[in-house]
Amino acid sequence: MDSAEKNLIELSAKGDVVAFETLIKAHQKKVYNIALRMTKDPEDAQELSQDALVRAFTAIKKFRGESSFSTWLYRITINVCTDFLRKRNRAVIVSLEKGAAGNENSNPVQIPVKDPGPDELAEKKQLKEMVKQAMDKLSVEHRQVLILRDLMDLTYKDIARTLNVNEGTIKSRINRARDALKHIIVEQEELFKDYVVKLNRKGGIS
Amino acid sequence: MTRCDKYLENLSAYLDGELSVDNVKEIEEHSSECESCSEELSVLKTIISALHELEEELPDGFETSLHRRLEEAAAKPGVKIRTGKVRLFAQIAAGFVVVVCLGLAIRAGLMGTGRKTASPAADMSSAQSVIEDRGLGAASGTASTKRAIPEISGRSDGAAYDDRSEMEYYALEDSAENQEVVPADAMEIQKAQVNNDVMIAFSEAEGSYALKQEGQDTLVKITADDAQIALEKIIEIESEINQEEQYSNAAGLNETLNAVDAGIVSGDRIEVKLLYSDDETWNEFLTEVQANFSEVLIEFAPKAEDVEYIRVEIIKQ
Repeated sequence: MDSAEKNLIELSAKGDVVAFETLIKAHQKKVYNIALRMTKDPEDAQELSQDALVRAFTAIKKFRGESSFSTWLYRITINVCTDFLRKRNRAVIVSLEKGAAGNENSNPVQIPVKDPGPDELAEKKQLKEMVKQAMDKLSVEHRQVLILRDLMDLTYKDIARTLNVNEGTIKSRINRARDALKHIIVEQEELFKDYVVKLNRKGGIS
Repeated sequence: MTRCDKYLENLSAYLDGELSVDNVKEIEEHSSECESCSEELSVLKTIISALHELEEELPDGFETSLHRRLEEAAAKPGVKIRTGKVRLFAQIAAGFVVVVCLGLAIRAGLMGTGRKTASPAADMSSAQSVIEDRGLGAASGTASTKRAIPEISGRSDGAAYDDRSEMEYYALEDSAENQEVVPADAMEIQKAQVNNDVMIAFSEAEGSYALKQEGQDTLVKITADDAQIALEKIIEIESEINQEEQYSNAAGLNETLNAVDAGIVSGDRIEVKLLYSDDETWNEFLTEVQANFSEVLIEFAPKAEDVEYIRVEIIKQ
């Protein structure tokens, strides 16, 4: 932790809102994106990411610097979102019991019907959309690890600390999560395979 | 396990740079020879790079509304002073309870009805007085030490304050000099303890009701009509008190709840474990559990893993 960050943390602990806002400046977008991928809904994501940030603000005096500040913040966010999903999923189960149709996992991935054109940008966008929708279909457990790994760029060690499970578990969970993600995409869309083959011929997508 | 199986198992870790040099070499050699594995690698690479691009911009007005909420949080009374003040009150009240406990312990000893249980692993420096009640004493066969949690340790909104609003509570704390108010409440608490037929042990060394012992897991046995509802209550308590988020107990609890929901784990007996690095939160959790469930039994047992856990067992009645 650098001294500027330490100083901001100390000021935040005394209730300095501006110091806290400076402290989270570099992280708030990540926090929002964790919530967005967890909840799949921009409005929920805004609400929950702000819940998490406010919670971090009121709890910051207890932050002991055992992990980095960002890891601590992500952990709070993951917890806030997991708690929210648990409550919401239970509500879904109740409504299903009453005979209401549809749960969030019953819809197949909706691949945009647009024909893949020669426009590479459009293809890339389409791929992104496919991956995003497949991601939304994953279990919460799998989503958590992929958000932390691929969106937040955390190491396995930091993910293990964030989720309070050991590194070996994280390693196999990430592998299973990606495998599940791949299956959702490939099963739903043969197109994807052609796309990868085409990309390989061109030498990668980026 | 075939080479491909091993390859596929390590593929993600390879792409994430989390493999040892030897394993990396092995993987690279294999993928140069095996077409299906190298295709798998390309697919995964493509997905991961797309995942990296999923990040979206903050919605308009995010910072403005966040600012408002932070200002509200900063202005909220009691946020900063809570812990210290509660502790002061708890200590005063605890003093009264220990006097009563000692008195009862002596009486129980004289009458020859008390069955004291000594904890083999108990810290010798913490003088303990253990009172056992008739009802619970008979069931103490396996327990190393049993303790009841006083409803006063560490929390402003614990059961002891149910009938008092937070503002009144702080008013009381603000006049901590006013010694008349505090003893009156302490008397009520000790009365409650005695009437509830519970066991009390007080650690003088720690100056509080230590519910954590070095090298011991704290076992919490809850009997409830519906184990699943009880688990939900535990989750609620956990998320309420675990503000510092040192460990993600919530993830484990939710996993268990999902497993119960899905019928993977029986709802007749649910076991969960919790981890808190600071004693304050540890005690807070146990205090809250005591306040929220009518049938709770607290015991200690030698730790099963390398760190001490609170192990909660919920049994359906």
